[in-house]
Amino acid sequence: MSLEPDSIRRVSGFGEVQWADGYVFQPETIAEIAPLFDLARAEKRTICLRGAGRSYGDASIDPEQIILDLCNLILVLQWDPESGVITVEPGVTIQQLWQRCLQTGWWPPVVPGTMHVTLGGALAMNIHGKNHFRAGSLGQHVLSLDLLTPDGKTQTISREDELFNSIIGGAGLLGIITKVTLQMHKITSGELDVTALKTVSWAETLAYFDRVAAEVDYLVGWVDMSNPKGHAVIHHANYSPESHPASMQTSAQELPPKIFGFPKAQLWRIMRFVTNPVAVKVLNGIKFALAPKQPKTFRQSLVAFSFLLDYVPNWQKCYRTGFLQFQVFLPKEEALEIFPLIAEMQRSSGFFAYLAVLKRHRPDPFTITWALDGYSLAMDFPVHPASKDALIAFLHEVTDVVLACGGRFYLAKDSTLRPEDIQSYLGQETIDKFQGLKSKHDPENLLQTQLARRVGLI
Amino acid sequence: MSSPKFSRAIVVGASSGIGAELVRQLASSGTVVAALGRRMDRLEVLGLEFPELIHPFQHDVTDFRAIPALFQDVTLKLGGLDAIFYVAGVMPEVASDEFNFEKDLAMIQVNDAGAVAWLNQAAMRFAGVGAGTIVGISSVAGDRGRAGQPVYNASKAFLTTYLEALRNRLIGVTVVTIKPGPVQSEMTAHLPGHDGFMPASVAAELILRKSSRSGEHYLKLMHRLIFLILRNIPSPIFRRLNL
Repeated sequence: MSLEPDSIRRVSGFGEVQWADGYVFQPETIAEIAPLFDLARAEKRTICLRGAGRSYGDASIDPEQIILDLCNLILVLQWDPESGVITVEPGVTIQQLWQRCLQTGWWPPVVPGTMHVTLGGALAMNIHGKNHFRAGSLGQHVLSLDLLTPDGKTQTISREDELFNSIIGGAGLLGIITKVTLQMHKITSGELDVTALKTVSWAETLAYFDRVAAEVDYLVGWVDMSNPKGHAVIHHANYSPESHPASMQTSAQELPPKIFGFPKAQLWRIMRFVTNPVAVKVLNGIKFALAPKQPKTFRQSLVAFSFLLDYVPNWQKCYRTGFLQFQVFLPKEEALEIFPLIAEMQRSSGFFAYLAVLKRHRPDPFTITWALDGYSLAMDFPVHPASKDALIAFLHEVTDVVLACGGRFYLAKDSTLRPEDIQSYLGQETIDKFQGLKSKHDPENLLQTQLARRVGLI
Repeated sequence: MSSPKFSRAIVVGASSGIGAELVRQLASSGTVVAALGRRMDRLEVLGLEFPELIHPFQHDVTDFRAIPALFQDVTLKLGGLDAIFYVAGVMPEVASDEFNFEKDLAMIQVNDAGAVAWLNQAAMRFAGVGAGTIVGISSVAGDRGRAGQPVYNASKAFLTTYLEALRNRLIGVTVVTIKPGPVQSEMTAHLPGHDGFMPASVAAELILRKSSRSGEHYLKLMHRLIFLILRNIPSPIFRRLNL
């Protein structure tokens, strides 16, 4: 085995701002992975794990290194429709998971906004969904996993093992997750009872979140960052308690093929015309105006509610020169003061988030984690080459504000954190603990990513 | 036309002349450059001008077997590759009645085989990523076979045709053939009228500017016009013109 020049490919983060050329390997079987450790040693390269490449920044890229793309490891090894326990290879996606399990009344316990993420990647980055305040992150539903370490050995790690909590969220630095056993969530219907309403201020939005959080399964808010008051549209949803087998057929879960009459595959081209500040402000105003003042309830399929990011394939390309995703996590006590401050900083800087999504969170047991008892706001900032450095400087200012009030950040969404930032919110002790595990399980530092070096995790 | 911005580039044949100037100008615009050449002492001196940006590598382009591994080492050092400039070239003095195979072989090896060895590596890589720029320094001398320099002419014609083929083969990759006229350098120092030739720094500046666009480029409008005519003169007539 050797590094072949014709295996070099350009891999990028989902935001299409950061990319790198690397030697891409796409094993078809787990057995093909271990020899790559020897190749890396012989060629003095490192290995960067990559799933579907849906992390927005540089979590799955590394220039000139071995890019180990696990997307072809897609076997479902075991599935028990009685218990809802499924064992899969790491390249299995959330899409595969729900399509396999839905008909027998099971749904992934936690899903992100897109179904096109791999389980290996999702666990390495400790993903969450719109039900985080209730269900925790996906890693909390994993019963056990197999970890292949650079010494070539595979160990099964159960959730009781101490190492487990550092693998989830460990950014693919401690070993390769080669098998995942996950507890699915029991459902009786493929539909959700959804409620939509609008709120006119941050205070109202956060108060509403707190009021309903105990009663709803899913909760998410869209915030108009161009609006000084903080106009928002909230959606919350509950699993439908009725038995409705017909809605659990895959065919009942399709996303619409057309949106506003446009074929969705081409919609990103049209969206390019509205990704400018003026049009976004106008569209945000329209979106808010059209949202119901009084709570309005309707039924929606699980897929249609869960996977908003999949409505428009290639939507990331509507930003022309890419975008930065920036998600801040604030303690609940600070949110009402800091969210409006961030919005104000955006208005005065001229950089405002075209899309901002609010979610409610709770702490989790993982070592490298963003989780806390509070709220997060995930924001999309379009990147223009001429103002990119200024945008990053602005996001660093926001970072300082967030860290000063005990906030946290999420590596899957990150492109801008500096080593002092993660040191600030994780604490040196946590980083030392993680690095201790790193030197134990990967003493040669064979597993690296651009992100891990950038933020000083390794 | 402004010069394209490259983050990382390789210059093969960087010890002197156009190659050294390209390294200097690339680095001064912020490009990280691998400067490859036979004379390490000169490369190191050149590297001192931008110690952060210029990485010297000792290399003889006729060491063909070493090139694939060296290419990987260099791209690892650079952290990627946006452009490669193949500048290495030799033109030994050849008398009008001389047929010296040693000199001819040296030209074929340096001007052609070395170019193929390096640019094949770059071509494979750039084809994989669907981006990149390949610049080959050919010559107006490749446009016709003339009495004075049979193998030099042929070697440059080879390079021009090879680059044209790469251009047609590689999608998304910019392939640039530069055809300078006489340029002041060590290679041309023995030629009459050397002092009147285009300075290497001027040539390098023009080459960088023209590197943004695929195709064959002369460095002077006058050359473009003259060689348009010369290329189209039928061979029996060309022979009688004694150019």
